[in-house]
Amino acid sequence: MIDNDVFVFDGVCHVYDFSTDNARSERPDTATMHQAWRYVIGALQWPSPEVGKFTPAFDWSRRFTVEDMYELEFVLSPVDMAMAHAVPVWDWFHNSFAPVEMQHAFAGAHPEQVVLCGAVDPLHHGVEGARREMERQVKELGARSFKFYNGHVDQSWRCDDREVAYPLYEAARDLGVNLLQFHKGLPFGMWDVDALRPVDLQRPARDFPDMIFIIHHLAYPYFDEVVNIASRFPNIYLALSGVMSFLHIAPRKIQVWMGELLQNVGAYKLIWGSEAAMTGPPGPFLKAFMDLEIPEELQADYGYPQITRDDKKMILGLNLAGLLGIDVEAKVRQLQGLAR
Amino acid sequence: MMDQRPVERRVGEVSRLLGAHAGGIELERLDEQGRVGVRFTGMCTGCLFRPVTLATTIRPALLEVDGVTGVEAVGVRVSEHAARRLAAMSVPWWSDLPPREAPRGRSSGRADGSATDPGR
Repeated sequence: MIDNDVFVFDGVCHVYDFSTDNARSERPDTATMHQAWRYVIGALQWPSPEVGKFTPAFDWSRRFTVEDMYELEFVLSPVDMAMAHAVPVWDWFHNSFAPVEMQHAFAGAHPEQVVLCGAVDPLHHGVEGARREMERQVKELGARSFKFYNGHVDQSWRCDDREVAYPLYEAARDLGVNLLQFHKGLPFGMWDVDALRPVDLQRPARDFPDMIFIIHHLAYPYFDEVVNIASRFPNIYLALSGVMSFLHIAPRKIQVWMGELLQNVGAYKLIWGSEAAMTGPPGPFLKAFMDLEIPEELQADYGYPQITRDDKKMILGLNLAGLLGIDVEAKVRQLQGLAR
Repeated sequence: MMDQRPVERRVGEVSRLLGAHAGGIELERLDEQGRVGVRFTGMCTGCLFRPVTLATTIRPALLEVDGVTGVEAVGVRVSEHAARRLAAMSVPWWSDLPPREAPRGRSSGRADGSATDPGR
């Protein structure tokens, strides 16, 4: 909690496996990709005492542990709950970027605070294989949502493909999961950026009106497209995954993006996510977000509304809790009881 | 407890007007303080001019209903600066104007005699 009245639900964290054992070193681009990630990690880290052990000397070529994640989220940061997302990207990893078993271990160790978001890929698993894996992840691992990455080096697919993607959405619905999440924008390495445009989520949003579609990373560089789409489709939400990390790099850009989102989409459809462990502990970003204001000149020149404390409460936790049917007051009482 | 029916009626009337552009609104909420929330529908969703429509058409129309103290639209919000500019430029289209002469063979305006010409 922040100030005893802001419930904080980190919509996106990953228990990564950056270990050398997991790297597909036979690929010529793997070393470059890992180097690039280290560079990004360095840029996104917030210089603060909370960063603690993530000094420049910290070796990121490791498999993160449940203990690492607990410390980052719940000891070094005022986070109440977190969703651990598996990352179905095998392009440079034997066992994927963030394996579902590691996310499950985190959720299983702290079931009152961590929710599992499973993940499959229809080309990696095959459509039928993916459906079976979804069933396993829900029934055996307790997944409450699914994450999809449709852009890859060689095997990209479209989210509105009725033969490849729709069977997975139907499988989720049959399993009682209505929260579908998509990595859009932010291509890794040499992925085709246009595969990550958000436009292919419009047809699924129309065809599955009972499902919630969450688009991550504001689909950057397709920000205008994603704002337009989210403003028109009642079942499309936007996750600010990692976006707040740019507050200390390009604060004006974040002020403009937040202004645009509040003006045209609404705070009730925005979900904060930290991307920890890659971005370090979320604490410093949360403080920066609580301090965030839309400057006077942007209000005057662009008509952007001021961000309110109620907006921040929705974005930081109430929206995702609502989508998952979590009673926040009861959850807070439960967590306070556990802390005693 | 505020009577919701007049608000619903006015929302319906405004929505029919917006239907000229294949858009519309629906009532999202009405609280005990008289604050109304509406949601854009149809072609209005995602339209860049929603704040203008809200300020110049929807808000004035709903504020004329007894008991309504404020009007918001879900997912649409502008700064105080922009709201002041919009308010300054808007002429309430729902104000009591003398009914225009009806074209031959057609009735004029609404049943209560006030004008409904949305083209002003």
